[in-house]
Amino acid sequence: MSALSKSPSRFKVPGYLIGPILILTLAMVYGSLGSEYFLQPASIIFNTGRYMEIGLLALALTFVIINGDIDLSVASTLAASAGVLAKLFAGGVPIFWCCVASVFTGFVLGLINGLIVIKFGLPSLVVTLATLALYRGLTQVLLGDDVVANYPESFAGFDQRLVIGGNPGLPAPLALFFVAAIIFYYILHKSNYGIKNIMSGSNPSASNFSGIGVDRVRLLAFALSGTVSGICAVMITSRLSSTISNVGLGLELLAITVVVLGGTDIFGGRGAISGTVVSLFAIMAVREALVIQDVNGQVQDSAVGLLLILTVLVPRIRSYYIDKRDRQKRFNEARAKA
Amino acid sequence: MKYIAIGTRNEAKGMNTKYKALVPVLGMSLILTGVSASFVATSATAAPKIKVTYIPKNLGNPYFDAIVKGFNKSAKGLNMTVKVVAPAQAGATDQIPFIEAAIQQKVDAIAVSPNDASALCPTLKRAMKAGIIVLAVNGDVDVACRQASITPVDFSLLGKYLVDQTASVIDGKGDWAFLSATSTAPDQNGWLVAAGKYIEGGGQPGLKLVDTVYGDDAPEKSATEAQALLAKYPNLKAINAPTTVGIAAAAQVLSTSPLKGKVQVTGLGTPNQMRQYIKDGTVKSFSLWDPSVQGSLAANLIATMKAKNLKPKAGVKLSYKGVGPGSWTMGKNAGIIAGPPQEFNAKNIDDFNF
Repeated sequence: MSALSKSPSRFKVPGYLIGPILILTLAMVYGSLGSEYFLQPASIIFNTGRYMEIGLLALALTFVIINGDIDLSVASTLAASAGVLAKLFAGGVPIFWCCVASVFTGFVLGLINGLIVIKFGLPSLVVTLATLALYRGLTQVLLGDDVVANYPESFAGFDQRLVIGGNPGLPAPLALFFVAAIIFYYILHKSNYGIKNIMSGSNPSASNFSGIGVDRVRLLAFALSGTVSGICAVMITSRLSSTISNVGLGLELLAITVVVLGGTDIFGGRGAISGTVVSLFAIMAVREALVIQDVNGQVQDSAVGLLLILTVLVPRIRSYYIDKRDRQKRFNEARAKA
Repeated sequence: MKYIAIGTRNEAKGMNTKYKALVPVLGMSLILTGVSASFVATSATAAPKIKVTYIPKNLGNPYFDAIVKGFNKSAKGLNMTVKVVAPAQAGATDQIPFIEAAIQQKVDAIAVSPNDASALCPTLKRAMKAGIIVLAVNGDVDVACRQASITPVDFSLLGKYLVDQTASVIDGKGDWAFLSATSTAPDQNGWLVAAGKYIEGGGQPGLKLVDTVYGDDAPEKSATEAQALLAKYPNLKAINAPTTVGIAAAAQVLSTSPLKGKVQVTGLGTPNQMRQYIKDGTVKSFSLWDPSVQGSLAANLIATMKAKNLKPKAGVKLSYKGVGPGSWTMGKNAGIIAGPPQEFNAKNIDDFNF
């Protein structure tokens, strides 16, 4: 009620963005105070590449998680797609068609995830936990201990290309991420599919009765997540200009962290693309601020874990106390009336 | 200003006046330190310290701690600062952020013990393009992605070395067996094949290789295989385990067996794992390389490359006193082999900690 009574023209930062924005700001301040090298344009431009893969995965995962599902297999799907790409390339297929095959592989593997979850009514946590191992295993069978390298110059180094301007300019992965974020924003917040997505996440049975094909919505989200994994496989192969079977190991956890930190409810029904975008940059700033000050890997991991717990916990505690205060207020009013 | 303030405070507290005499002295020394500090500062800008970042595979690994030790030891005399940073896991791409940070910090050199030969390549090439010296230490990356590489020991000579090592612990006579890692381990298999060729060619004729078993680098399996060897070959005189897991397991089996001292265990192991078996007499001697030599060599090489603008290539000769064997010649693709294997025995084992 209180939201409606306020003037609609006033710009208000949504609650789920406060945490990530705060982290982003603090990390930027901490980084620039700690190291003169933190805010160099070159580093901001060229070190963002590997975060954008996580960012794209997180954008697609936002849809899956809003549905109340989870896709733990994104990194393994990525690896399998990269494996197909590498195997075809080693077999002499032109690189363009290898990339198409990679995206298609991602789409198919995502679809398989969705079909198993929906047709057999199994929890997505279990299904994608299984396919996490399965797809990674298939990649290992496909590639063995081989390293596929020697990709053509025209394909390699995607992350070091600038799309707009010279030095400094806008690097390709960042540009791709922004374009994807805008597209995903329109799909989630402006299109029919997006609204159905949020509805079926917040109350599946009510949505079903209102004529929303909940199963189809969920299936599409899994297929989307798989397809984006296939795209990320192309990006990561270009960036590393080599492929091994353990490519992208553990990326799923980073991507899920980004989504949850961005305010998407892990139980479904609530979430926003803006949250995922800001939280990606927040995590990137934290990591970069720590690594530039020579903080070791273990500490970085712990820091991000701690931030995740805090950002999820603090709003819960806050709303608990607000609820309690409101109840007390209503109780007092009722007593005053009586 | 400062000593006046101190003086007045002392007076206010009514302290003994004899301390007051110290105040001007303190003031003078403060000024002197200031002068000398500024002097140091100017001399530092004249010859800036060489900034080096070393990135091991991961942290908390005693083997790499030994390399770091070697680095630091040599850096002291070379006007060099060495920073050590590493990822939590030894994943193929986990070292990339640390290389990127080093590029950002404009270091003079990056030394990396690579987790992957190819995946680090684009980032390392970027570092070289930025004018940073890139060395691969204790492993190599693709040759186009580093200026030189340092590997611990010449693997092509290890086959012969293992046979000769066995001969030395049993005076050149008797039955012996290999206790290896997995049957697919590329390093060990290469050594076993080379050892076989050496024996066929008439090397150490007094020895008789009776069996080769695989402990899969698992302590339990290695111990079981060692026990089986002892039961199966009553005339067995030695077990050679060219793997750190296998040698420790075999030594542990023998240390509690009545055959202790009658059957020798040797091979490749780390001093920390094997110390107790050397001390209790189960093991006479075993070998490995001294990882700290690689760190010292890397630090010295970086300093030479920086100071004399040395371009590493095959045939370049290096000589650093007090580091490992003292002199090296770069091999193909600027690869440097740190030195011969290091033998550990009761006399020298306490000099090593890794």
